[in-house]
Amino acid sequence: MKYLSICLLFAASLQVLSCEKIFITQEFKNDPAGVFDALWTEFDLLYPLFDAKGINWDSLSTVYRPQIQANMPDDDLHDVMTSMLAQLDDNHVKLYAQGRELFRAGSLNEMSAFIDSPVETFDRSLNRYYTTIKNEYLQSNYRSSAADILIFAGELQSSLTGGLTIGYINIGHGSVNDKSFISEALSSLGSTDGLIIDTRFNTDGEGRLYTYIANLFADQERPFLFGQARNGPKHDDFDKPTSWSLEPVEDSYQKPVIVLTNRHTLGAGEILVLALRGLPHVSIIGDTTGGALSDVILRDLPNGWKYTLSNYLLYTPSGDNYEGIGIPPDSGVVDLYFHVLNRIDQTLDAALEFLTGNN
Amino acid sequence: MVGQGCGVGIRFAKEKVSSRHWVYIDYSRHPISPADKSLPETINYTIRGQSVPLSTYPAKTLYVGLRYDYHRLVKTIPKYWLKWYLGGAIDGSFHFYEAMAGYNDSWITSYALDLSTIVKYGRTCRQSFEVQLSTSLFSFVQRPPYSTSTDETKHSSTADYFTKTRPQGVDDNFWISSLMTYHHSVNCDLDLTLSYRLSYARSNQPRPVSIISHQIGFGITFLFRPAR
Repeated sequence: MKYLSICLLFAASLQVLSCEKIFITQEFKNDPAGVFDALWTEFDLLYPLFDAKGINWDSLSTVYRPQIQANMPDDDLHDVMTSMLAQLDDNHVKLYAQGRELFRAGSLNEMSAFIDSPVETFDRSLNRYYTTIKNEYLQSNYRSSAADILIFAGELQSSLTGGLTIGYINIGHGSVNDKSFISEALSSLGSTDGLIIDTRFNTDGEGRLYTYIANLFADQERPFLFGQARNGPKHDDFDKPTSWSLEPVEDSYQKPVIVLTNRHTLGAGEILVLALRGLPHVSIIGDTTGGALSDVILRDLPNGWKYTLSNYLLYTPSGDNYEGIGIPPDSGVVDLYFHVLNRIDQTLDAALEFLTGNN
Repeated sequence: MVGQGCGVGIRFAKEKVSSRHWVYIDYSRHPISPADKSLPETINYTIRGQSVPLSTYPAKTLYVGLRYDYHRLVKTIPKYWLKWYLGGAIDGSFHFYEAMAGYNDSWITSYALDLSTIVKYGRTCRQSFEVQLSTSLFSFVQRPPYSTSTDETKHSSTADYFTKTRPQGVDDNFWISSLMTYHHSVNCDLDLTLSYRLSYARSNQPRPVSIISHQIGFGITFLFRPAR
Protein backbone atom coordinates (compact mmCIF):
# COMPACT_ATOMS: atom_id res chain seq x y z
CA MET A 1 0.00 0.00 0.00
CA LYS A 2 2.80 2.33 0.92
CA TYR A 3 4.53 1.48 -2.36
CA LEU A 4 1.44 2.45 -4.33
CA SER A 5 1.05 5.80 -2.64
CA ILE A 6 4.64 6.67 -3.39
CA CYS A 7 4.12 6.00 -7.04
CA LEU A 8 0.84 7.90 -7.29
CA LEU A 9 1.26 11.15 -9.18
CA PHE A 10 -1.18 13.88 -10.01
CA ALA A 11 -0.30 16.28 -12.77
CA ALA A 12 -1.92 19.34 -14.26
CA SER A 13 -0.41 20.26 -17.55
CA LEU A 14 -1.04 23.54 -19.25
CA GLN A 15 -0.63 23.38 -22.99
CA VAL A 16 0.69 26.92 -23.21
CA LEU A 17 0.63 27.01 -26.96
CA SER A 18 -0.26 24.57 -29.66
CA CYS A 19 0.01 25.63 -33.25
CA GLU A 20 -1.78 23.60 -35.80
CA LYS A 21 -2.20 23.38 -39.52
CA ILE A 22 -5.15 21.50 -40.99
CA PHE A 23 -5.36 20.37 -44.60
CA ILE A 24 -8.82 19.56 -45.86
CA THR A 25 -8.79 17.68 -49.12
CA GLN A 26 -11.01 18.74 -51.98
CA GLU A 27 -12.83 16.49 -54.37
CA PHE A 28 -12.31 18.74 -57.38
CA LYS A 29 -9.23 20.13 -59.10
CA ASN A 30 -8.45 23.78 -59.60
CA ASP A 31 -9.02 23.79 -63.34
CA PRO A 32 -12.07 24.90 -65.38
CA ALA A 33 -13.64 21.44 -65.38
CA GLY A 34 -13.01 21.00 -61.65
CA VAL A 35 -14.45 24.41 -60.82
CA PHE A 36 -17.55 23.85 -62.95
CA ASP A 37 -18.10 20.33 -61.59
CA ALA A 38 -17.68 21.51 -57.99
CA LEU A 39 -20.36 24.15 -58.52
CA TRP A 40 -22.76 21.84 -60.37
CA THR A 41 -22.34 18.99 -57.88
CA GLU A 42 -22.82 21.11 -54.78
CA PHE A 43 -26.02 22.60 -56.19
CA ASP A 44 -27.16 19.13 -57.20
CA LEU A 45 -26.73 17.93 -53.62
CA LEU A 46 -27.93 20.96 -51.67
CA TYR A 47 -30.21 23.23 -53.68
CA PRO A 48 -33.79 22.72 -52.45
CA LEU A 49 -35.77 24.54 -55.14
CA PHE A 50 -35.29 22.50 -58.33
CA ASP A 51 -38.75 20.93 -58.13
CA ALA A 52 -40.43 24.09 -56.83
CA LYS A 53 -39.03 26.03 -59.79
CA GLY A 54 -39.45 23.23 -62.34
CA ILE A 55 -35.74 23.09 -63.18
CA ASN A 56 -34.05 20.05 -64.68
CA TRP A 57 -30.52 20.44 -63.32
CA ASP A 58 -29.17 17.44 -65.24
CA SER A 59 -30.22 18.95 -68.54
CA LEU A 60 -28.43 22.19 -67.65
CA SER A 61 -25.26 20.15 -67.19
CA THR A 62 -25.84 18.64 -70.61
CA VAL A 63 -26.04 22.12 -72.10
CA TYR A 64 -23.24 23.90 -70.21
CA ARG A 65 -20.66 21.23 -69.27
CA PRO A 66 -19.53 20.71 -72.92
CA GLN A 67 -18.73 24.44 -73.10
CA ILE A 68 -15.94 23.98 -70.54
CA GLN A 69 -12.50 23.81 -72.18
CA ALA A 70 -9.27 22.76 -70.47
CA ASN A 71 -7.47 26.09 -70.78
CA MET A 72 -10.33 28.50 -71.11
CA PRO A 73 -9.79 31.98 -69.61
CA ASP A 74 -11.49 32.89 -66.34
CA ASP A 75 -13.77 35.34 -68.14
CA ASP A 76 -15.18 32.56 -70.30
CA LEU A 77 -15.52 30.18 -67.37
CA HIS A 78 -17.35 32.90 -65.43
CA ASP A 79 -19.69 33.43 -68.38
CA VAL A 80 -20.58 29.73 -68.67
CA MET A 81 -21.14 29.37 -64.94
CA THR A 82 -23.26 32.50 -64.60
CA SER A 83 -25.31 31.52 -67.68
CA MET A 84 -26.12 28.22 -66.01
CA LEU A 85 -26.89 29.79 -62.63
CA ALA A 86 -29.11 32.43 -64.24
CA GLN A 87 -31.53 29.62 -65.15
CA LEU A 88 -32.31 29.28 -61.44
CA ASP A 89 -33.78 32.81 -61.32
CA ASP A 90 -32.81 33.06 -57.66
CA ASN A 91 -31.56 36.32 -56.16
CA HIS A 92 -29.90 34.39 -53.34
CA VAL A 93 -27.67 32.53 -55.77
CA LYS A 94 -24.54 34.66 -56.11
CA LEU A 95 -21.09 34.15 -57.58
CA TYR A 96 -18.21 36.11 -56.05
CA ALA A 97 -15.12 36.30 -58.26
CA GLN A 98 -12.05 38.35 -57.38
CA GLY A 99 -12.19 41.92 -58.70
CA ARG A 100 -15.44 41.37 -60.59
CA GLU A 101 -18.94 42.63 -60.31
CA LEU A 102 -21.09 40.40 -58.11
CA PHE A 103 -23.29 38.10 -60.15
CA ARG A 104 -26.79 37.49 -58.82
CA ALA A 105 -28.81 34.81 -60.56
CA GLY A 106 -32.06 36.72 -60.41
CA SER A 107 -33.76 39.95 -61.26
CA LEU A 108 -31.50 41.99 -58.95
CA ASN A 109 -28.50 41.47 -61.23
CA GLU A 110 -29.86 43.96 -63.73
CA MET A 111 -32.34 45.78 -61.56
CA SER A 112 -32.19 49.52 -60.97
CA ALA A 113 -33.53 51.09 -57.81
CA PHE A 114 -36.63 52.29 -59.68
CA ILE A 115 -38.01 51.13 -63.01
CA ASP A 116 -37.29 54.53 -64.55
CA SER A 117 -33.76 55.02 -63.13
CA PRO A 118 -30.56 53.53 -64.61
CA VAL A 119 -28.95 50.62 -62.76
CA GLU A 120 -25.61 52.47 -62.78
CA THR A 121 -27.01 55.19 -60.50
CA PHE A 122 -28.45 52.79 -57.90
CA ASP A 123 -26.70 54.45 -54.93
CA ARG A 124 -27.61 57.95 -56.01
CA SER A 125 -31.25 57.05 -56.63
CA LEU A 126 -31.49 55.36 -53.25
CA ASN A 127 -29.96 58.33 -51.42
CA ARG A 128 -32.46 60.65 -53.08
CA TYR A 129 -35.30 58.34 -52.03
CA TYR A 130 -34.18 58.26 -48.37
CA THR A 131 -33.73 62.04 -48.39
CA THR A 132 -37.28 62.43 -49.67
CA ILE A 133 -38.70 60.32 -46.84
CA LYS A 134 -36.65 62.05 -44.16
CA ASN A 135 -37.18 65.61 -45.39
CA GLU A 136 -40.66 65.51 -46.85
CA TYR A 137 -42.49 62.99 -44.69
CA LEU A 138 -40.84 62.52 -41.29
CA GLN A 139 -40.84 65.01 -38.47
CA SER A 140 -37.36 66.40 -37.96
CA ASN A 141 -36.87 64.59 -34.64
CA TYR A 142 -36.74 61.13 -36.21
CA ARG A 143 -34.02 58.82 -34.86
CA SER A 144 -31.67 56.38 -36.55
CA SER A 145 -30.32 53.16 -35.09
CA ALA A 146 -26.73 53.51 -33.91
CA ALA A 147 -26.03 50.07 -35.35
CA ASP A 148 -27.48 50.70 -38.79
CA ILE A 149 -28.31 53.93 -40.61
CA LEU A 150 -30.88 52.14 -42.75
CA ILE A 151 -33.09 51.73 -39.68
CA PHE A 152 -34.80 54.92 -38.61
CA ALA A 153 -38.09 55.84 -37.01
CA GLY A 154 -40.25 58.76 -36.08
CA GLU A 155 -43.68 60.32 -36.46
CA LEU A 156 -44.89 61.49 -39.84
CA GLN A 157 -45.46 65.22 -40.36
CA SER A 158 -48.87 66.20 -39.02
CA SER A 159 -49.68 68.11 -42.22
CA LEU A 160 -49.81 64.74 -44.01
CA THR A 161 -51.85 62.72 -41.53
CA GLY A 162 -55.23 64.47 -41.37
CA GLY A 163 -55.10 65.03 -37.63
CA LEU A 164 -53.96 61.51 -36.79
CA THR A 165 -50.60 60.64 -35.33
CA ILE A 166 -48.89 58.08 -37.53
CA GLY A 167 -45.56 56.45 -36.82
CA TYR A 168 -43.01 55.29 -39.36
CA ILE A 169 -40.25 52.72 -39.01
CA ASN A 170 -37.87 52.12 -41.91
CA ILE A 171 -36.23 48.72 -41.79
CA GLY A 172 -33.83 48.88 -44.69
CA HIS A 173 -31.51 46.31 -43.17
CA GLY A 174 -31.17 44.75 -39.78
CA SER A 175 -29.17 42.69 -37.37
CA VAL A 176 -29.83 41.61 -33.81
CA ASN A 177 -27.87 44.69 -32.75
CA ASP A 178 -30.90 46.75 -33.78
CA LYS A 179 -33.27 44.98 -31.38
CA SER A 180 -33.21 47.59 -28.65
CA PHE A 181 -33.61 50.45 -31.12
CA ILE A 182 -36.68 48.82 -32.69
CA SER A 183 -38.15 48.05 -29.29
CA GLU A 184 -37.61 51.61 -28.04
CA ALA A 185 -38.88 53.13 -31.29
CA LEU A 186 -42.05 51.10 -31.09
CA SER A 187 -42.54 52.04 -27.43
CA SER A 188 -42.24 55.71 -28.30
CA LEU A 189 -44.73 55.24 -31.16
CA GLY A 190 -47.09 53.10 -29.09
CA SER A 191 -49.68 55.85 -28.70
CA THR A 192 -49.92 56.58 -32.44
CA ASP A 193 -53.13 55.95 -34.38
CA GLY A 194 -51.36 53.83 -36.96
CA LEU A 195 -47.94 52.72 -38.04
CA ILE A 196 -46.09 52.29 -41.30
CA ILE A 197 -43.29 49.72 -41.51
CA ASP A 198 -41.17 50.30 -44.58
CA THR A 199 -39.32 47.23 -45.87
CA ARG A 200 -38.56 48.58 -49.34
CA PHE A 201 -34.92 48.07 -50.31
CA ASN A 202 -34.46 45.60 -47.48
CA THR A 203 -32.28 43.09 -49.31
CA ASP A 204 -30.47 41.70 -46.34
CA GLY A 205 -30.69 41.14 -42.63
CA GLU A 206 -30.91 38.64 -39.85
CA GLY A 207 -34.13 36.67 -39.73
CA ARG A 208 -34.05 36.44 -35.96
CA LEU A 209 -34.42 40.25 -35.76
CA TYR A 210 -37.39 40.13 -38.07
CA THR A 211 -39.25 37.43 -36.15
CA TYR A 212 -38.57 39.51 -33.03
CA ILE A 213 -40.11 42.55 -34.75
CA ALA A 214 -43.11 40.58 -36.02
CA ASN A 215 -43.81 39.33 -32.50
CA LEU A 216 -44.21 42.95 -31.36
CA PHE A 217 -47.34 43.10 -33.55
CA ALA A 218 -48.72 39.61 -33.03
CA ASP A 219 -52.19 39.13 -31.58
CA GLN A 220 -51.94 35.40 -30.94
CA GLU A 221 -49.63 32.52 -31.63
CA ARG A 222 -49.87 31.71 -35.33
CA PRO A 223 -47.67 29.64 -37.60
CA PHE A 224 -46.68 31.64 -40.67
CA LEU A 225 -44.00 29.59 -42.39
CA PHE A 226 -42.67 26.08 -42.80
CA GLY A 227 -39.15 25.27 -43.91
CA GLN A 228 -37.34 22.17 -45.07
CA ALA A 229 -33.68 21.62 -45.93
CA ARG A 230 -32.26 18.96 -48.22
CA ASN A 231 -31.13 15.84 -46.40
CA GLY A 232 -30.20 13.55 -49.26
CA PRO A 233 -28.86 13.41 -52.79
CA LYS A 234 -32.24 13.24 -54.53
CA HIS A 235 -33.85 16.58 -55.35
CA ASP A 236 -36.90 15.70 -53.28
CA ASP A 237 -34.98 14.46 -50.23
CA PHE A 238 -36.05 16.84 -47.46
CA ASP A 239 -35.81 17.02 -43.71
CA LYS A 240 -39.00 17.17 -41.65
CA PRO A 241 -40.65 20.61 -41.84
CA THR A 242 -39.74 23.19 -39.25
CA SER A 243 -42.60 25.47 -38.31
CA TRP A 244 -42.10 29.16 -37.54
CA SER A 245 -44.75 30.89 -35.51
CA LEU A 246 -45.53 34.33 -34.24
CA GLU A 247 -45.39 34.54 -30.47
CA PRO A 248 -47.10 37.67 -29.18
CA VAL A 249 -45.48 39.85 -26.58
CA GLU A 250 -47.30 41.72 -23.85
CA ASP A 251 -48.79 45.02 -25.08
CA SER A 252 -48.18 44.21 -28.73
CA TYR A 253 -49.11 46.97 -31.20
CA GLN A 254 -52.71 46.33 -32.33
CA LYS A 255 -53.61 49.52 -34.21
CA PRO A 256 -53.62 49.61 -38.03
CA VAL A 257 -50.25 48.78 -39.55
CA ILE A 258 -49.20 49.20 -43.18
CA VAL A 259 -46.15 47.32 -44.46
CA LEU A 260 -44.50 48.85 -47.54
CA THR A 261 -42.80 46.52 -50.01
CA ASN A 262 -41.09 46.64 -53.38
CA ARG A 263 -39.05 44.39 -55.67
CA HIS A 264 -36.01 45.02 -53.47
CA THR A 265 -37.68 43.55 -50.38
CA LEU A 266 -35.81 40.28 -50.19
CA GLY A 267 -34.79 37.41 -47.96
CA ALA A 268 -35.34 38.05 -44.28
CA GLY A 269 -37.29 41.19 -45.25
CA GLU A 270 -39.77 38.91 -46.98
CA ILE A 271 -39.95 36.71 -43.91
CA LEU A 272 -41.02 39.80 -41.96
CA VAL A 273 -43.67 40.58 -44.59
CA LEU A 274 -45.00 37.02 -44.48
CA ALA A 275 -45.07 37.03 -40.68
CA LEU A 276 -47.00 40.30 -40.54
CA ARG A 277 -49.39 39.89 -43.42
CA GLY A 278 -51.47 37.23 -41.72
CA LEU A 279 -52.36 39.62 -38.91
CA PRO A 280 -55.85 41.16 -39.09
CA HIS A 281 -54.65 44.73 -38.47
CA VAL A 282 -51.86 44.63 -41.09
CA SER A 283 -52.05 45.50 -44.81
CA ILE A 284 -49.32 45.31 -47.43
CA ILE A 285 -48.94 48.19 -49.89
CA GLY A 286 -46.36 48.53 -52.66
CA ASP A 287 -44.87 46.28 -55.30
CA THR A 288 -44.44 42.49 -55.23
CA THR A 289 -41.38 41.47 -53.22
CA GLY A 290 -38.20 40.06 -54.77
CA GLY A 291 -39.00 36.37 -54.20
CA ALA A 292 -35.84 35.08 -52.52
CA LEU A 293 -36.90 34.05 -49.04
CA SER A 294 -34.56 31.22 -48.17
CA ASP A 295 -31.55 31.35 -45.93
CA VAL A 296 -28.29 30.99 -47.85
CA ILE A 297 -25.07 29.08 -47.45
CA LEU A 298 -21.68 30.18 -48.68
CA ARG A 299 -19.33 27.76 -50.43
CA ASP A 300 -15.83 27.91 -51.91
CA LEU A 301 -14.75 26.80 -55.35
CA PRO A 302 -11.33 25.26 -56.02
CA ASN A 303 -10.15 28.44 -57.78
CA GLY A 304 -10.95 30.65 -54.78
CA TRP A 305 -14.26 31.99 -56.08
CA LYS A 306 -17.18 31.76 -53.68
CA TYR A 307 -20.87 31.33 -54.20
CA THR A 308 -24.07 31.27 -52.21
CA LEU A 309 -27.10 29.11 -52.68
CA SER A 310 -30.55 29.01 -51.12
CA ASN A 311 -30.81 26.10 -48.75
CA TYR A 312 -34.41 26.09 -47.55
CA LEU A 313 -37.69 25.29 -49.17
CA LEU A 314 -40.06 27.71 -47.48
CA TYR A 315 -43.83 27.70 -47.78
CA THR A 316 -46.79 29.18 -45.96
CA PRO A 317 -49.32 27.16 -43.94
CA SER A 318 -51.55 27.23 -47.03
CA GLY A 319 -48.73 25.70 -49.09
CA ASP A 320 -47.74 28.79 -51.11
CA ASN A 321 -44.10 29.05 -52.11
CA TYR A 322 -42.99 32.53 -53.17
CA GLU A 323 -39.45 31.72 -54.31
CA GLY A 324 -38.84 33.36 -57.66
CA ILE A 325 -42.35 34.82 -57.57
CA GLY A 326 -42.46 37.28 -54.68
CA ILE A 327 -45.17 38.11 -52.17
CA PRO A 328 -47.97 40.14 -53.77
CA PRO A 329 -49.19 43.24 -51.91
CA ASP A 330 -52.79 43.80 -50.84
CA SER A 331 -52.70 47.05 -52.77
CA GLY A 332 -50.22 47.56 -55.61
CA VAL A 333 -48.14 50.71 -56.08
CA VAL A 334 -44.93 50.96 -58.13
CA ASP A 335 -42.55 53.77 -57.17
CA LEU A 336 -41.07 55.92 -59.92
CA TYR A 337 -37.81 57.83 -59.70
CA PHE A 338 -39.57 60.64 -61.51
CA HIS A 339 -41.71 61.10 -58.39
CA VAL A 340 -38.77 60.77 -56.03
CA LEU A 341 -37.01 63.56 -57.94
CA ASN A 342 -40.11 65.63 -57.27
CA ARG A 343 -39.89 64.70 -53.57
CA ILE A 344 -42.92 62.43 -53.70
CA ASP A 345 -43.11 58.90 -52.30
CA GLN A 346 -46.11 57.35 -53.99
CA THR A 347 -46.22 54.21 -51.89
CA LEU A 348 -45.98 56.16 -48.65
CA ASP A 349 -48.73 58.47 -49.92
CA ALA A 350 -50.92 55.43 -50.64
CA ALA A 351 -50.29 54.13 -47.10
CA LEU A 352 -51.23 57.50 -45.63
CA GLU A 353 -54.40 57.59 -47.67
CA PHE A 354 -55.28 54.14 -46.40
CA LEU A 355 -54.64 55.02 -42.76
CA THR A 356 -56.38 58.41 -42.85
CA GLY A 357 -59.37 56.97 -44.66
CA ASN A 358 -58.91 59.13 -47.73
CA ASN A 359 -58.53 56.25 -50.15
CA MET B 1 -8.52 24.26 -47.76
CA VAL B 2 -6.13 25.05 -44.95
CA GLY B 3 -6.78 26.07 -41.38
CA GLN B 4 -3.84 27.44 -39.47
CA GLY B 5 -3.71 28.86 -35.98
CA CYS B 6 -2.92 28.41 -32.33
CA GLY B 7 -4.84 27.27 -29.32
CA VAL B 8 -4.54 26.41 -25.65
CA GLY B 9 -5.27 23.31 -23.66
CA ILE B 10 -5.14 21.80 -20.22
CA ARG B 11 -4.47 18.21 -19.17
CA PHE B 12 -5.08 16.52 -15.84
CA ALA B 13 -3.31 13.27 -15.16
CA LYS B 14 -3.31 10.66 -12.45
CA GLU B 15 -0.51 8.14 -12.83
CA LYS B 16 0.45 5.02 -10.95
CA VAL B 17 3.13 2.51 -11.79
CA SER B 18 0.67 0.30 -13.59
CA SER B 19 -1.89 2.70 -15.01
CA ARG B 20 -2.41 6.22 -16.32
CA HIS B 21 -5.56 8.35 -16.46
CA TRP B 22 -5.52 11.55 -18.51
CA VAL B 23 -8.19 14.15 -19.15
CA TYR B 24 -7.59 16.77 -21.83
CA ILE B 25 -9.48 19.93 -22.72
CA ASP B 26 -8.38 21.76 -25.88
CA TYR B 27 -9.50 24.96 -27.50
CA SER B 28 -8.43 26.48 -30.79
CA ARG B 29 -9.75 28.92 -33.35
CA HIS B 30 -8.54 29.10 -36.94
CA PRO B 31 -9.19 31.09 -40.06
CA ILE B 32 -9.79 28.86 -43.08
CA SER B 33 -8.13 29.76 -46.35
CA PRO B 34 -7.48 28.14 -49.73
CA ALA B 35 -4.65 25.60 -49.70
CA ASP B 36 -3.23 27.27 -52.80
CA LYS B 37 -1.43 30.32 -51.42
CA SER B 38 -1.87 32.17 -54.70
CA LEU B 39 -5.62 32.30 -54.05
CA PRO B 40 -7.08 35.10 -51.91
CA GLU B 41 -8.66 34.50 -48.49
CA THR B 42 -11.43 36.94 -49.27
CA ILE B 43 -12.99 38.09 -52.52
CA ASN B 44 -13.11 41.81 -53.29
CA TYR B 45 -16.05 42.66 -55.50
CA THR B 46 -18.38 45.43 -56.54
CA ILE B 47 -22.12 45.67 -57.08
CA ARG B 48 -23.34 47.45 -60.17
CA GLY B 49 -24.54 50.94 -59.38
CA GLN B 50 -23.11 50.89 -55.88
CA SER B 51 -19.93 52.85 -55.28
CA VAL B 52 -18.54 51.07 -52.21
CA PRO B 53 -16.28 48.05 -52.93
CA LEU B 54 -17.07 45.04 -50.76
CA SER B 55 -15.28 41.93 -49.50
CA THR B 56 -16.44 38.49 -48.46
CA TYR B 57 -15.87 37.37 -44.88
CA PRO B 58 -13.01 34.95 -44.22
CA ALA B 59 -14.27 31.62 -42.93
CA LYS B 60 -13.29 30.56 -39.40
CA THR B 61 -13.51 27.45 -37.31
CA LEU B 62 -13.61 26.95 -33.57
CA TYR B 63 -12.68 23.68 -31.91
CA VAL B 64 -13.25 22.48 -28.37
CA GLY B 65 -12.14 18.98 -27.49
CA LEU B 66 -12.57 16.84 -24.38
CA ARG B 67 -10.75 13.52 -24.10
CA TYR B 68 -10.27 10.87 -21.46
CA ASP B 69 -7.40 8.36 -21.88
CA TYR B 70 -6.82 5.25 -19.81
CA HIS B 71 -3.73 3.09 -20.27
CA ARG B 72 -2.36 0.07 -18.40
CA LEU B 73 1.25 -0.93 -18.31
CA VAL B 74 1.54 -4.12 -20.34
CA LYS B 75 5.23 -4.70 -20.42
CA THR B 76 8.47 -3.24 -19.14
CA ILE B 77 11.78 -3.84 -20.91
CA PRO B 78 14.41 -2.53 -18.46
CA LYS B 79 17.25 -3.37 -20.80
CA TYR B 80 16.06 -0.70 -23.25
CA TRP B 81 14.42 1.60 -20.68
CA LEU B 82 11.06 0.98 -22.39
CA LYS B 83 7.52 0.74 -21.08
CA TRP B 84 4.59 -0.35 -23.21
CA TYR B 85 1.06 0.72 -22.32
CA LEU B 86 -2.19 -0.34 -23.93
CA GLY B 87 -5.54 1.32 -23.45
CA GLY B 88 -8.25 3.39 -24.93
CA ALA B 89 -9.84 6.78 -24.96
CA ILE B 90 -13.21 8.43 -25.11
CA ASP B 91 -13.09 11.52 -27.24
CA GLY B 92 -15.67 14.24 -27.67
CA SER B 93 -15.17 17.29 -29.83
CA PHE B 94 -17.15 20.27 -30.96
CA HIS B 95 -16.37 22.07 -34.24
CA PHE B 96 -18.05 25.32 -35.09
CA TYR B 97 -17.70 26.61 -38.62
CA GLU B 98 -18.51 30.19 -39.51
CA ALA B 99 -18.64 30.91 -43.24
CA MET B 100 -20.34 34.29 -43.16
CA ALA B 101 -20.10 36.17 -39.87
CA GLY B 102 -23.43 36.06 -38.11
CA TYR B 103 -25.36 34.60 -41.04
CA ASN B 104 -24.10 31.23 -42.02
CA ASP B 105 -22.67 28.84 -39.53
CA SER B 106 -22.67 25.21 -38.71
CA TRP B 107 -21.37 22.82 -36.13
CA ILE B 108 -20.36 19.24 -35.85
CA THR B 109 -19.86 17.22 -32.71
CA SER B 110 -18.10 13.91 -32.76
CA TYR B 111 -17.69 11.19 -30.16
CA ALA B 112 -15.22 8.39 -30.50
CA LEU B 113 -14.02 5.33 -28.68
CA ASP B 114 -10.35 4.88 -29.51
CA LEU B 115 -7.81 2.12 -29.18
CA SER B 116 -4.50 3.53 -28.05
CA THR B 117 -1.01 2.37 -27.28
CA ILE B 118 1.97 4.18 -25.80
CA VAL B 119 5.64 3.33 -25.84
CA LYS B 120 7.70 5.30 -23.34
CA TYR B 121 11.44 5.59 -23.37
CA GLY B 122 13.00 6.95 -20.20
CA ARG B 123 16.69 6.43 -19.64
CA THR B 124 16.99 9.03 -16.93
CA CYS B 125 14.53 10.43 -14.42
CA ARG B 126 14.90 13.89 -15.89
CA GLN B 127 13.98 13.10 -19.47
CA SER B 128 11.60 10.81 -21.25
CA PHE B 129 10.18 10.39 -24.70
CA GLU B 130 6.97 8.68 -25.64
CA VAL B 131 5.00 7.85 -28.74
CA GLN B 132 1.26 7.32 -28.67
CA LEU B 133 -0.72 5.81 -31.54
CA SER B 134 -4.52 5.99 -31.49
CA THR B 135 -7.20 4.93 -33.89
CA SER B 136 -10.97 5.04 -33.75
CA LEU B 137 -12.76 1.80 -32.97
CA PHE B 138 -16.12 3.46 -33.10
CA SER B 139 -17.05 7.02 -33.89
CA PHE B 140 -20.25 8.89 -34.01
CA VAL B 141 -20.74 12.24 -35.69
CA GLN B 142 -23.64 14.54 -34.96
CA ARG B 143 -24.11 17.19 -37.64
CA PRO B 144 -26.78 18.88 -39.72
CA PRO B 145 -28.15 16.13 -41.92
CA TYR B 146 -27.00 17.33 -45.29
CA SER B 147 -26.93 21.03 -45.77
CA THR B 148 -24.63 22.42 -43.10
CA SER B 149 -26.41 25.64 -42.37
CA THR B 150 -28.90 26.39 -39.64
CA ASP B 151 -31.96 28.47 -40.23
CA GLU B 152 -31.29 32.05 -39.34
CA THR B 153 -34.89 32.95 -38.64
CA LYS B 154 -34.88 31.19 -35.30
CA HIS B 155 -31.16 30.88 -34.90
CA SER B 156 -31.05 29.52 -31.40
CA SER B 157 -27.77 27.67 -31.30
CA THR B 158 -28.88 25.28 -28.59
CA ALA B 159 -32.27 24.57 -30.14
CA ASP B 160 -30.78 24.17 -33.61
CA TYR B 161 -28.21 21.74 -32.33
CA PHE B 162 -30.90 19.40 -31.06
CA THR B 163 -33.36 19.90 -33.90
CA LYS B 164 -31.08 20.29 -36.89
CA THR B 165 -28.37 17.75 -36.35
CA ARG B 166 -28.56 14.04 -37.02
CA PRO B 167 -26.21 11.19 -36.22
CA GLN B 168 -24.19 10.04 -39.21
CA GLY B 169 -23.27 6.44 -39.89
CA VAL B 170 -20.65 4.99 -37.60
CA ASP B 171 -18.92 3.23 -40.46
CA ASP B 172 -18.39 6.42 -42.36
CA ASN B 173 -15.77 7.94 -40.12
CA PHE B 174 -12.19 6.95 -39.46
CA TRP B 175 -9.50 8.60 -37.42
CA ILE B 176 -5.85 7.79 -36.68
CA SER B 177 -3.35 9.86 -34.78
CA SER B 178 0.22 9.73 -33.60
CA LEU B 179 1.52 11.87 -30.76
CA MET B 180 5.18 12.22 -29.86
CA THR B 181 6.02 13.88 -26.58
CA TYR B 182 9.33 14.82 -25.00
CA HIS B 183 9.28 15.46 -21.23
CA HIS B 184 11.97 17.35 -19.41
CA SER B 185 11.79 17.47 -15.65
CA VAL B 186 12.87 20.85 -14.30
CA ASN B 187 12.41 19.84 -10.66
CA CYS B 188 10.17 17.67 -8.49
CA ASP B 189 7.17 19.88 -9.16
CA LEU B 190 7.60 20.95 -12.74
CA ASP B 191 7.95 19.30 -16.17
CA LEU B 192 8.29 20.93 -19.55
CA THR B 193 6.89 19.10 -22.56
CA LEU B 194 7.29 19.46 -26.27
CA SER B 195 4.88 17.54 -28.47
CA TYR B 196 4.05 16.88 -32.09
CA ARG B 197 0.80 15.35 -33.25
CA LEU B 198 0.02 14.12 -36.74
CA SER B 199 -3.51 12.95 -37.41
CA TYR B 200 -5.69 11.87 -40.28
CA ALA B 201 -9.47 11.80 -40.32
CA ARG B 202 -11.83 10.69 -43.03
CA SER B 203 -15.59 11.02 -43.24
CA ASN B 204 -17.55 9.63 -46.18
CA GLN B 205 -21.04 11.02 -45.69
CA PRO B 206 -22.62 13.02 -47.15
CA ARG B 207 -19.49 13.91 -49.13
CA PRO B 208 -16.07 12.33 -48.79
CA VAL B 209 -13.65 14.56 -46.94
CA SER B 210 -10.17 13.87 -45.57
CA ILE B 211 -8.45 16.05 -43.02
CA ILE B 212 -4.76 15.90 -42.21
CA SER B 213 -3.62 18.00 -39.30
CA HIS B 214 -0.31 18.49 -37.62
CA GLN B 215 0.17 20.26 -34.36
CA ILE B 216 3.18 21.37 -32.39
CA GLY B 217 2.68 22.05 -28.71
CA PHE B 218 4.63 23.37 -25.78
CA GLY B 219 3.41 22.63 -22.28
CA ILE B 220 4.19 23.15 -18.62
CA THR B 221 3.25 20.36 -16.22
CA PHE B 222 2.76 20.91 -12.50
CA LEU B 223 3.24 17.74 -10.49
CA PHE B 224 1.50 16.91 -7.22
CA ARG B 225 2.67 13.91 -5.22
CA PRO B 226 0.70 12.71 -2.22
CA ALA B 227 2.51 13.13 1.08
CA ARG B 228 4.08 9.89 2.35
